[in-house]
Amino acid sequence: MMINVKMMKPEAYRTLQANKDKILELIKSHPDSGDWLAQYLEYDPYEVTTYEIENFVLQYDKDYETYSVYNGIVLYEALKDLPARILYSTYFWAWINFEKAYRQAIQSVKISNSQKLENGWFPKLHGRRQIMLGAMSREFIKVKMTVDESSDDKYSLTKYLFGDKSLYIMMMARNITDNYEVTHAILDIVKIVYDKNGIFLTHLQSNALLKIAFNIGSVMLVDSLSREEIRSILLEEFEPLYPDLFN
Amino acid sequence: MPIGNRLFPYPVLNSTELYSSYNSNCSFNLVYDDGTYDDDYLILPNLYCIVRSDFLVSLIQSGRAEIKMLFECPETMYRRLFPISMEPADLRIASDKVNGICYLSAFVIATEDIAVDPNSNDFTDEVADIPIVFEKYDILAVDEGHKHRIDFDLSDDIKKSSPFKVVPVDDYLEGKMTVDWGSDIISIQVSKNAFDAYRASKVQSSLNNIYFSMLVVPALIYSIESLLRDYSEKDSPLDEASFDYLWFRSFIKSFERKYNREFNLTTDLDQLDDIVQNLFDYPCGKGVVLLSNMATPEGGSEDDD
Repeated sequence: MMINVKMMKPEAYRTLQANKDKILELIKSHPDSGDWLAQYLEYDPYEVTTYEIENFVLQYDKDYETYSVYNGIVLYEALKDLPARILYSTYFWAWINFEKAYRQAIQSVKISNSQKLENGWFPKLHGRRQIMLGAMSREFIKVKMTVDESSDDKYSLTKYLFGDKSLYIMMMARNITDNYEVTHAILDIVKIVYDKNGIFLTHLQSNALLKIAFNIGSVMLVDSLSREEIRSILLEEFEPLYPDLFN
Repeated sequence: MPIGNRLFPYPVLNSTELYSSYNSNCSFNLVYDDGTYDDDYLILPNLYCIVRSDFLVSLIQSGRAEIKMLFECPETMYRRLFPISMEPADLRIASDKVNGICYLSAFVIATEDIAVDPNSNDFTDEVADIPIVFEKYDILAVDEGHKHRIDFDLSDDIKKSSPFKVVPVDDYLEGKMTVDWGSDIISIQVSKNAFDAYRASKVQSSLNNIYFSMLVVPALIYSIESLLRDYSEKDSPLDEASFDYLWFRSFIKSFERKYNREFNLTTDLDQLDDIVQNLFDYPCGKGVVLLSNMATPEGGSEDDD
């Protein structure tokens, strides 16, 4: 069934920001559904766009990790064709968080205080960082960064980014990771290590790997290089640092 | 990937002469006409690079180097490298990939390892006699810092909304009002009671002058002054603030329509209270008259009774 995409109304969005302590309280006292929001605001929080998507339902388990990759892929498949001006709008993701993925959004970001809630659910600024850190937008982005449409197993790298939170946070810091040849090459190394040893890289190892990746661009235009060329440089420089991971 | 003042271990032709190790008669510039966009494409017309360096032109013409343009839109995480040439050609990018600020940078890139004569006439004396080898993919020339702002009018997607939003704050003392501005709108924050009263009566267009004078005029003056204070150290405060803040762009456009000239940061800021009132057709005095008429519905004064 097709549904119309919605976006949170700017006045609703600003009201949530201006009352974030109260909103945190209300989310905590309503763990199952965001239906209370319209009652709190006393008007429909959303405006309907002309864009349609196939309706989707996410899975839920008390342990968020059980379905995080699955849900990320469901989100990606449902939303990937929307224009960027919708897809990268925090008003759009506020709709997803409150109406389409409420229980999952509560689990995705630890909302231990109202500032964390604001950052994850209705951030003040609109930009790359806010989308990459948003409660459910981060799950969409993780899939987008890892999907390889040319591969028979197009999500083969996805679980490696979901499994290594610090790697994702470090990748977020540099725009070069918007080049998915770079991202895929980095995750190729993570996959090699995981498949050999059954473990993800430590924070220090991830940091070393990313430093090598970022340094490729010190004099070269890294966007000119293919995934295979980048992977080869990464292996050449990373393997001698941690030979045990590759034996 | 900002190059800025990055040092290279070999000569690079930088469009910023200070960082260039080529002679001053050499240059490398990305050129294009004003960009346009619609629902289908962002179009950058007549886009090409001017390469004034015999050395680089010979490398490009022999296929040992090529010109590339990196297009980055951080807001939508769109990043793509386009081949470009020294001949003008239109570049089209699908509109559904981009939004917000986009950055364009042009590069000359080595396509193979190249041993170079350091005594080329194009290089400055600093690099003379030092053996130079370019490696494949090395950056040989750069022109960066071009940027565009793309704001799709969402009115086709949803109804267009005002840049001012009145919102309630649960724990505000009765009567308190604050202003908070973001990149797109200005929030006017009031107590719950005040918000309820506003919402119940805002449909009456006859009250617009009262609400504009009490809420919008002071909020806009405050926001403009705060924003321009924050941007006072920038090279071009008006342009940069307009680039970053949608509501400020709207203000500048309204000003230019009303006054038929550009906003002058030196003289107009002192007149901001008058300018903002003028843009809304002087609602403050009219609001007072309206309130007076409402207090005395028959048009007379209370003393007449």
